[in-house]
Amino acid sequence: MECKDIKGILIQYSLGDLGQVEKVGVEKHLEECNECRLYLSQSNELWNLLDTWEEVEPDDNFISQFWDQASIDETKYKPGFLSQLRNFKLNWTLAGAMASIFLVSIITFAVFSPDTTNTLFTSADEQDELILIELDNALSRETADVLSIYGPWDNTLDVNGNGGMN
Amino acid sequence: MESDIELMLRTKAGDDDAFSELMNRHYKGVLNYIYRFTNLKENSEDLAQEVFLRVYRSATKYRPEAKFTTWLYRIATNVSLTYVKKKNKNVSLDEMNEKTGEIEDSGVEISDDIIYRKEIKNVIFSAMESLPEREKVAIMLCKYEGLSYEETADVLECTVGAVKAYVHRGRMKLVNKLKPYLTEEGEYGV
Repeated sequence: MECKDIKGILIQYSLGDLGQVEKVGVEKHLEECNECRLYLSQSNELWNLLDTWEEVEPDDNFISQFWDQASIDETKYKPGFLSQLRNFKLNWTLAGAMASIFLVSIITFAVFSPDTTNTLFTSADEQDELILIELDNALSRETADVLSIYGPWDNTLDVNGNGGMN
Repeated sequence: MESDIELMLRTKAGDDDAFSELMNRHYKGVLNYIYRFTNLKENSEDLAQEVFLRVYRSATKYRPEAKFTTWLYRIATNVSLTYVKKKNKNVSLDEMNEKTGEIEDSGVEISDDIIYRKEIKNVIFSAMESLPEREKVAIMLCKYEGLSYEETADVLECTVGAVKAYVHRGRMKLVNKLKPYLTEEGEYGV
């Protein structure tokens, strides 16, 4: 293997990620090549050097600071009605379910509701009918009484059109 | 001990003590992760609070599908990168040139361990800052936060192989940038 190839897999080598054949190849190369040996040792050294970048410690009261900030945040960003409306996002699943329920309700109502158009004659109608018949009979009697003052009908007419009613 | 996911589910149900416990576990890690992006402790505190506020606000939508730490570090990465980009936008050209000056020319006289460590911190920060975003994040998560390649891949939303490549390339670039601080025998030191 060339130095270029070795440098490409040195990290895997140091992590133990290489197969046995590659590992032996790298080790053999490292025994003979000063440059790659230095490259590997500097790479490992760099990894240790990064540890000198020391950690910082959080403030002792970071949790209480957080909750203070959270309560301010909650008041500050509490969404009003308009912003809720602006941020409203249609939930298509929910909308579909609601539309299906609405359609099923309409169909159910249409099928099972009492059909008033087919009810023609009720007991109330029967009474109305009797009243109307009685009224009709009363009118007929009244008319006959009024006409009786003219006496009986006479249908005999002469050639000149005279005669008839006397 | 309760797992992070259990604590997060308790937070979702309105238990703030559970969230305090989560912060106890992860605040320091997140703070230091951000600190390595900014190199400023005060800003890192504010940004760490911002990260946890975001997590807290999203608690109602939380689904225990991914590991909590990968979700947390994904948010921390976004917050840090947004901050760094915003900061770099506001940096003047002179400051920018100053910042990207050759590390090799810094010629630090290492006379004392403390001075050396302070200096080396700034040198490492500059070298890290010069790396491409993904290489930097991969090294920070693997090296400093102790995340596995798999977890780092989850944070970066890429494959494990890609993470290994980022770490490898970044490491090689850092060797070149920090060569003056590495000895020829492979032993750095004062």
